[in-house]
Amino acid sequence: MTREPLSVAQLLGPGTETAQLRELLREVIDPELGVDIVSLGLVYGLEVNGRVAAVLLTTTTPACPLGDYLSDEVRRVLLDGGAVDRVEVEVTHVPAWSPDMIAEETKRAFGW
Amino acid sequence: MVTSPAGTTVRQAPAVPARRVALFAAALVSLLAGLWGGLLLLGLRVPTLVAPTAADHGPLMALGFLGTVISLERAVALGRGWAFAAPALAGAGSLALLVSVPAVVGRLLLCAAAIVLVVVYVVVHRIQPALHLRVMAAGAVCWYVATVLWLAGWSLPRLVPWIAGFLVLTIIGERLELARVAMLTRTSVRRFLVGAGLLGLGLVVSVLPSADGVVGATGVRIAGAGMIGLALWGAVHDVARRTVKIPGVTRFMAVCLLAGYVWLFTGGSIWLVAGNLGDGIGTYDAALHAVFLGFVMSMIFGHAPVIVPAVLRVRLPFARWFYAHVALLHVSLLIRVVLGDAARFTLWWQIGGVGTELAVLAFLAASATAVVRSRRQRRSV
Repeated sequence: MTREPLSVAQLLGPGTETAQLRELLREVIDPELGVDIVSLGLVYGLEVNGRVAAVLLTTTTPACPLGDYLSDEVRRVLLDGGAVDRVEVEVTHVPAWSPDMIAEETKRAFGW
Repeated sequence: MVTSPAGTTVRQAPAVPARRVALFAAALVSLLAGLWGGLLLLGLRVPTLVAPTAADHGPLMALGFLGTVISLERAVALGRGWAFAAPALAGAGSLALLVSVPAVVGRLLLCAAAIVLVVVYVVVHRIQPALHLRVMAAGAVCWYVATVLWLAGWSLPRLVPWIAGFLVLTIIGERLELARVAMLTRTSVRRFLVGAGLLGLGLVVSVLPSADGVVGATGVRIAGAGMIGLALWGAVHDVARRTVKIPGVTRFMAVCLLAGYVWLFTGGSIWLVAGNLGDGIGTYDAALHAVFLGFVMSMIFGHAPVIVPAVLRVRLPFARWFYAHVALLHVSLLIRVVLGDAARFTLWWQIGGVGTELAVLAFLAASATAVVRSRRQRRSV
């Protein structure tokens, strides 16, 4: 199986279907923080092409072992949603995640 | 992968990675051997089985079990094959301690594991430099120093502060990383560095002769002050203070963490006051188990619902009855330290000690049950 490499620039288009799938990703919760990965800014990109979704994820640090776990959860949630038949997930640390990427509402909940 | 009616491929439930399971199993063997040794040290009339379980109780628990699991976590995070040498060496080292090979073999393997873990941190730090990574790397260096001292023939009571340093710095480094979510101020980072710095300084001084003539006493006191500082930092700045309000697994983890800080404070206070950990069996028992069981094991209980899925790729859904083994751990430890170590009631010391072991076994049983239930439910869907 071959596929185009993911890039953040390529994934910015907020199509309706993409937006819906992005909302589904809010069901993937970082268990430690009790906050979804979208609000934490861990989803760098999401693209839908037909019945295939491609997701670019990060973790808060490269020392965090949750990459596989979050990838599995992303696949599970998107496939359960029924809109796609295949989900490709890639974990990257470029650019490095920073707390600035957290959604404003979530920042406020954490006392910013 | 299977083919859907539409002809496209669909990913099934992730396969459990066999190599990781083998490493995890080695860690569990160390844990169970360490627990058995603990029963012998408590003076219970149980068969000896293999002699090192009692003599090497501490290294089996702290390096064999926790060292293997922590280095496995880091290897999974880095995702490079060579990084798995760290848990493999740690697992092999702890198993070597248990079988009839010269003791030096197990110690050398554990030392090599620490070196690989340090290299893992160096590589991770090159990907994304950060203070919390340097703190965790310092923890791995403590593991390395502990095994070097062990190879040099130092007794466990003299080198045990370094083993504590490994675990405390690893955990507190992780907490610092998460604390960024709640906007770390310069003041909070400074407070953290004071605590961690004191702990590190104390460990270095602990290998030097003390002014009061007791080897390591001054260093232990300084390290104790550092642990108190880190516990206070956690009580004020750890994100668990906020996440404890979120129900479910998040609150469970936060409760385990916050209870752990109470024991880190207690342990640090004992280190600070006692100085000489070998002053008496009660002091030694309380000083070590407040940190290793009260702080470290509580953290392990709290993080299992995250670490097990992350490492083994199986779901470990939280259940409210997980609080039972956490409560058993803390109540038993309280009995052990207060009625056993402080008031010197041998029977209560044994009851508390056995209670803490039962808590660990209950934790294993509860986690295994949750995993099996989850897999059954998944299959039946």
